[in-house]
Order: sequence, then C-alpha cells, then structure tokens
Amino acid sequence: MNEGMKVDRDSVSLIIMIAEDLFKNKAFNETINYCKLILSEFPDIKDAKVLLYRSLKELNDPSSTEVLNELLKDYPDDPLVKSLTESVDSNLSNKVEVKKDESNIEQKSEFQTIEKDNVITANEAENLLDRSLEEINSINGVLGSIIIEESGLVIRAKILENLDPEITSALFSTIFSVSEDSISKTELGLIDRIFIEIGKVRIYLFKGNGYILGIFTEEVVKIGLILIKAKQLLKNIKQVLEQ
Amino acid sequence: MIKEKIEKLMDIGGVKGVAILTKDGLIVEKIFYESEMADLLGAMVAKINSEMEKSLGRSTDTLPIFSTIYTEKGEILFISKEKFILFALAEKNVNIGALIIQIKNISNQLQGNI
Repeated sequence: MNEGMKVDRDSVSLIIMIAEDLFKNKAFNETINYCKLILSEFPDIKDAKVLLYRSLKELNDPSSTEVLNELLKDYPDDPLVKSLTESVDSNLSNKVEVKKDESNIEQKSEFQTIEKDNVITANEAENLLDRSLEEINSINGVLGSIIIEESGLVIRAKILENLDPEITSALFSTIFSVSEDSISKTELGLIDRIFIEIGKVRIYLFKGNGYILGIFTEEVVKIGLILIKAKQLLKNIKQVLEQ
Repeated sequence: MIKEKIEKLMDIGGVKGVAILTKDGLIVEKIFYESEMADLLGAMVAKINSEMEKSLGRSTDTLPIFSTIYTEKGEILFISKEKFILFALAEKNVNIGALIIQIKNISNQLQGNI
C-alpha cells in the first residue's frame, strides 16, 4: 500500500474487498492499514471499522476494545455489531461480513448464511441473483445485465426493455460455444471473457462455473470494477444455484 | 495495397497476425506467422460474426460490430464492416488500446477500397 494514498467514495468498496481478502489470508497488519486508510477519509464506514476491529482482535491488540466500544456507541442496534460482542465470548472470527454499503452487506451475509445452512429456496436464490445484478447495474454506465446457463437458458435478467432476454441468452451462449469450439483447436487456452461493441453499446461476457454473465454498458464505464464484480458473482453463483 | 495497410497493424508489438475476410470466411489477405491459424481463426471469426449479426444486427443494421475475445494466451480482435471482416491475433501483452484504434482506422480506410 502506498503511503499518502487517497481514497475516494467510489474506491471504498474496492479497498474493503482488498482488505477483506487480506484478512482472509491472515495478513492482519495490511488489513489494518487499509481500514485505517478508509477511516481516515470516511470515518462513517461501518464495514471498515468492523474489519479493523476483527483484525486488531486477531492480533490481540488491546485497542480492539476501543474500536468495539466506538462501534457499539455508533451502531447500538446493528445486528452485525451485536454479533461482534458475542464473538468476544464465542470465537466467530471466521464470519467476516464487511461490505461497502447496505445492499452489499446483505448480499454477502446471505451468501454466508447459505454456506452455513446448506439450504436455499428458489425465491431466495432469485432474490440473491436479482440483488447481485442490481448491484452491477448500479455501476455508472452499466445498462443491464443477464445471467444465463451455458446452454443458453435464462436464469435472471435485468436488461434493456427493448432486448428480448431469450434471444440475448441464445446469442451469448452461441458466441461462447462457437468461440470455445474453435479456440480449443488452437493453442490459445480457455476463453477468459469476450467484449463486443455495437454502435454506442458495449457488451462484456464472462463465463465461470458453467454460467455466463452478460453486462451491457455505455461507451465510458469503469471496466475494472465490472471485472471484479463479475468474477465475484460468478464465483458465488454455483453456491447459490446448486445447493 | 490492402496488404500495405494491414502491415501497419503488424508493426504494433505483440501482434501475431492480421487478416481480411469476406463475410463468409474466405480470406482476402493475410499476414500471419502461423498460416494455419489464420484459416482456423478466420472461420471462427466469420461464424461468430454471422451469429452476432443475425441476432444483434436486426436493430443495428448499419453499425459495425467490433469484438475482442480474451483467452488465456492471447487476444483475438475483429471488426465487421459492410463487406468484410478485419481480424487480428495478438499476445496478452499487446497495447490493446493502440491496436483497437488502428484496427478501426484501417477498416475505415479499407471500406472504400473493397
């Protein structure tokens, strides 16, 4: 991490994700640095504070108590914060639920609940996928997104009204199958993603775990953020749909 | 003359081959380090493009389609114009921005010649 690095509101979620990964990899000092960086600019980001507390606690740092007290003072009724107090007694350090905003928090914690319970209803799966797509669609410049099964069946779609999800999914599936078929005969390896530009619309296609995620965007868009979100969604999708 | 134009693309570091195809996949001109690869990728690009035009082209008839396929070991870029397709195969470390700009420029220049 660069000294003197500045954070803007748009980057907070990314930095939290990085910090979360570091935490999972037990790089607690680095996690603390990232959390402090976020909190120096935006002291109201609860998730960063929660992650900071957890990291400090892992290091048995006495200042973790101060952070916990601050959290309890600022968010007395928050279930996540309440769970932290419980974790003082029972070791719940493996339940990290840190996100950039409320929707994000709900989504990940729900994924973790699924992991724990191993049961998910169709409605819950739909809600989770809808929320994930909405999150992607909320990125500036994103016009819509669709999740399909690799054979072309639509799973969930939140795309432009004038586009037919069935035709779109059939097209995306064909593009991948044709490309994979031909590329398997070359030595180029597996397809990572496909980008299509038609007029002023861009389409990004990602494939993972047997599912295809298609994202429609305007000309100017933060592609890095889309890549991260898409990979995150494809990583979780199997867990949601196949439990 | 077509060859001269597509040679400009080969000047970009990391570009392994460039070819111009008819819409049905026949190669008009090519510069490829591996000749067989050009035929195979040409057929693939023509097929993908025809699928795209069939579905997406319905509402965007006159718009050119530009596409990039990112694979583990390389990138395939192609642009579909009214009568031809220009495609390039490049390594992962290619300056993709410069390549995209050049592909668009050259395809516009070729549009009048083909």
